[in-house]
Amino acid sequence: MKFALAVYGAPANSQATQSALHFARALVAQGHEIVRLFFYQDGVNTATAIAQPPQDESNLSEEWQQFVQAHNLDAVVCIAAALRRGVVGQAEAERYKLPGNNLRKGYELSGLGQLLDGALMADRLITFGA
Amino acid sequence: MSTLHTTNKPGQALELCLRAVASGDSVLLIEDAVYELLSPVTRLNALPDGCSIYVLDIDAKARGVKVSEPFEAINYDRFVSLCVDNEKVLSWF
Repeated sequence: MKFALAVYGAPANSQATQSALHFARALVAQGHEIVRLFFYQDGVNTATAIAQPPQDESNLSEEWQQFVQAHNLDAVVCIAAALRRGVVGQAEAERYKLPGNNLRKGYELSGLGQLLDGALMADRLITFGA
Repeated sequence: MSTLHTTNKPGQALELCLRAVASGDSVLLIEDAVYELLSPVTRLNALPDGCSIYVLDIDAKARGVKVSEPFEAINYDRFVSLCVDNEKVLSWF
């Protein structure tokens, strides 16, 4: 079955990222297909490359990126939510003359339409709220 | 057509969720919603006929909440199966 996942919470202040990752791993283990990951609202913080949680805690951003890359997933980060929270790719950094960029490899910044598109493509859309 | 309702916090999210539950639907409590089991007066016991209430085992254990009848503790594999078995999945948060 085809699944799309939406994640609304950030690693630092919500369990959503962790719950979604557990769920995604169970999906893959059962042979289901993840057609779209959509990180929205505070969930965009999952895609930053420069957050460094304490070393005795799990690094969910790192774990998500490894999962996305290992399974070659279509991982979309809401561009409007990301820009206002300081999660930017190289193109946005140049366009807005920002001092750096921090979007992890494997993710793509795009619009909210990609969430709708994912919902239409998938048999099920599962949302992990903040 | 049955729906799986997931909710991740007690209070308003769960309250709104339970108002929308129809006969034959399933409810899954995840994250902080498992604290609802500690409530002496919970609306979980007053759902329509044929509704099942599941609790994500790992989240209940992490919070020291014991899951007992009529509630059923499940793992992520069962969570996935519930998503497959119900035609719709609604998240309340």
